Amino acid sequence: MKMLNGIMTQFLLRMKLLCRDRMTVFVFFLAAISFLYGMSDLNREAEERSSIPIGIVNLSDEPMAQELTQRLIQMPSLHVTVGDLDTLMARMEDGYLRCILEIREDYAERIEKGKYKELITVYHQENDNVATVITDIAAGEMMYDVCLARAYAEYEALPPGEKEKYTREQYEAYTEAMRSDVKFDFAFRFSFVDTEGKEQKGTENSLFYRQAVAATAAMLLAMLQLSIMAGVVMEKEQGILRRRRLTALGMAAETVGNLLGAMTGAILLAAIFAACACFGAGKTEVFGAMLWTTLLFSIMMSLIYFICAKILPGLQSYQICGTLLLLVFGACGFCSMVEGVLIDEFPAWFDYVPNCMFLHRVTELLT
Amino acid sequence: MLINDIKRIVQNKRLWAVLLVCLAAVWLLARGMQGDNAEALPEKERVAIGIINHDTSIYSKMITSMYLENGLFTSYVSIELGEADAVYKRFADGELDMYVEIPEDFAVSMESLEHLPVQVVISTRNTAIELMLKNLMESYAGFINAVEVNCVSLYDVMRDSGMSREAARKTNEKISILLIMQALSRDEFFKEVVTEHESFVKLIPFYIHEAVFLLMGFFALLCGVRFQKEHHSGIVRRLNAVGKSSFLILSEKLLFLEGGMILLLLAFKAGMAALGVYIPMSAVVVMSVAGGDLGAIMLTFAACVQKMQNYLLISNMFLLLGAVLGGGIIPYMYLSEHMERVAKCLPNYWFLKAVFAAHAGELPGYPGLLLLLIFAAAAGLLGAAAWVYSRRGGRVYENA
Repeated sequence: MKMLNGIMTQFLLRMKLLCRDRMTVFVFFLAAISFLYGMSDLNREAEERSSIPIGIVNLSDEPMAQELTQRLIQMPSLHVTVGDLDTLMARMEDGYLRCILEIREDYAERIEKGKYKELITVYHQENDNVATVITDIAAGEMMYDVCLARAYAEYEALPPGEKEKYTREQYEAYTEAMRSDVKFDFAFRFSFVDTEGKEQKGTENSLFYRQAVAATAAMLLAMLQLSIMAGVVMEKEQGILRRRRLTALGMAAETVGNLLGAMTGAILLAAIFAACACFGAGKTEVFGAMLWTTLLFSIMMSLIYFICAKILPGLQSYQICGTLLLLVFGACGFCSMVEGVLIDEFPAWFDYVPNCMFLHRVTELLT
Repeated sequence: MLINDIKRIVQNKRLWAVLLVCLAAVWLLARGMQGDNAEALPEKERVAIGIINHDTSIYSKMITSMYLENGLFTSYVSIELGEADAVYKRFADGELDMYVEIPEDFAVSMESLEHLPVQVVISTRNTAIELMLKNLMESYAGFINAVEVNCVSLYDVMRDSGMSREAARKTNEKISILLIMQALSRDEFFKEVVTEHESFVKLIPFYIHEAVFLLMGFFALLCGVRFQKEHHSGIVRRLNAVGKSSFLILSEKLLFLEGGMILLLLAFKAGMAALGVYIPMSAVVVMSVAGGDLGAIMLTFAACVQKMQNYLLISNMFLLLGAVLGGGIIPYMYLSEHMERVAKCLPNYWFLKAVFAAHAGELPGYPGLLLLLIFAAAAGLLGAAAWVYSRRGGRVYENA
């Protein structure tokens, strides 16, 4: 009972210190609004922003080239900007585009004549493998036109008496009708299997972007805990804690009370993040689990910063250490997203970094 | 005042240790990220794919060739054509990230329009690899569709034109092979132009510069902490009493911070040069100007806010929230248009823009006037902060 009283006293003290200060409340409010704006916008745009951004310069006014442009615009894996080469090149230099496809002015004419070399000029940065993927995607869309021209050329080459029935237009119309037939809708049959051999639902492309948003939110939540726990260092520096010990406040009660206070302080931001992440991904059913995960992460970070506050001598060293931890943990979180792709496997301790654990759990909830 | 601050920092061994750790961390980060991404990975580090081909037709050859002849795949992915049992076992053991199983009579079924499904099994062990493989496979389905539609329509048209079944089948076989070969030589559709421009914003330099910006921000924050401490211990008020104005005290702090930052940035430039990465002097100038501005902002916060805890909360939030909304954490080029509009109001965004312009040698195009304006704004902020500070009254020891 005495212990519970101690916890409540410390908790209420922490809450009063946070809530009675108008400046703190104002900053929290402002941070919450900015956080809400950022998180909702990032999650809302996740689908679009997960596509590969490319530019298309269409130098041809032939219908075939226009259709190719339209088909590429409609591809969900690409985010296409159409414009002139100079404008798009400037955007690629700024990092907004991964590559530019320039469709030559005689695109259709060359295909009809059976000349398939260099139909499209691809501008990309050195050593950018994404361009290879994009050219494969574009080639998939061009293949229909190329195959059509090639097959018609074969038809035209047939001996007289076997090729008169279909004009070019009729032939194209027939092939187009076949193309829209569902029977020709070839697709691979995908199955996704987890490490235990159980079949899973496939992951959405936007997950990668959502992970980046979660990694960012984790850094902001950690920053909040860093700021809240600074109060503990200051109380230690001013001798307040030592005096409070005289009132028989136990170490355990102080720790739990402070952690409860820090968790309560993080509830608003955690709820904003959980709501934006779950509603953005259309997974409203995991809102509770997401909120709990976010709060657990906040508690974990507040415990780490509480320990720092206890062992470090002063505010300045606490701030330096806290900032370094924040940046290192944040970087680990971001790196864990690309493990196995850009970076080979990380050492085992990586799994115990709070940001990586948080991101791992968020990924599980969103998939 | 300046000499006093310099003496204090020179004698602070702990601070030097932390600074060395910070510099070493940035250097190691840069070194770790310096590796050439384009190099092929060693066999054991590549994404592993197994292919089980029960069909011996040209269609199935097309699917396997898409992997085996793709430069991206051969440098990043190890591909293994194997027997079903061996591939299943390797997949179950976690040695393969994906396998493709082409059924028997796949080509025959395509000709009769009864698509036997090509099974693609992807491991969900690594989300990034899973997404990459799924997207590539989806794009390859387009090739098969194009070839199939055109082969079947040509066959129908030929039959409809009165050609015998046998002759149409033979012609169709010939064109099938031609179209498949065309699909396999898809690279000839493209003319590649590799644009080598200094200003290309790549992710690794982007994050290195962002880390530098954040570190400068935290040094500026510590400078504000020092001012707050001096305020709470009554030093600032005593200096006011002997005729040193608040503006002078704040300016001294800014000058001290700026001097330290220039030294650190020069050390950073030298460290990067040792790694073979050239950082132009104009980029160092941009970084030091940004450091000065951050110092002015933090000192303004320190002067305007009474409590240390409030100062820490505001300055920390300003830095990190500024980095998030300013396109520093999720790069500004991946933000939505709305968010980018917000980013344009924050220093983080303009720092990144200016530093990459400096790398591209385009900074002289930005008039020097702009830099002066930034400095003037910083000085103006300090002036306003000093005014607020002097109007705030004499509460010093209380509410610290």
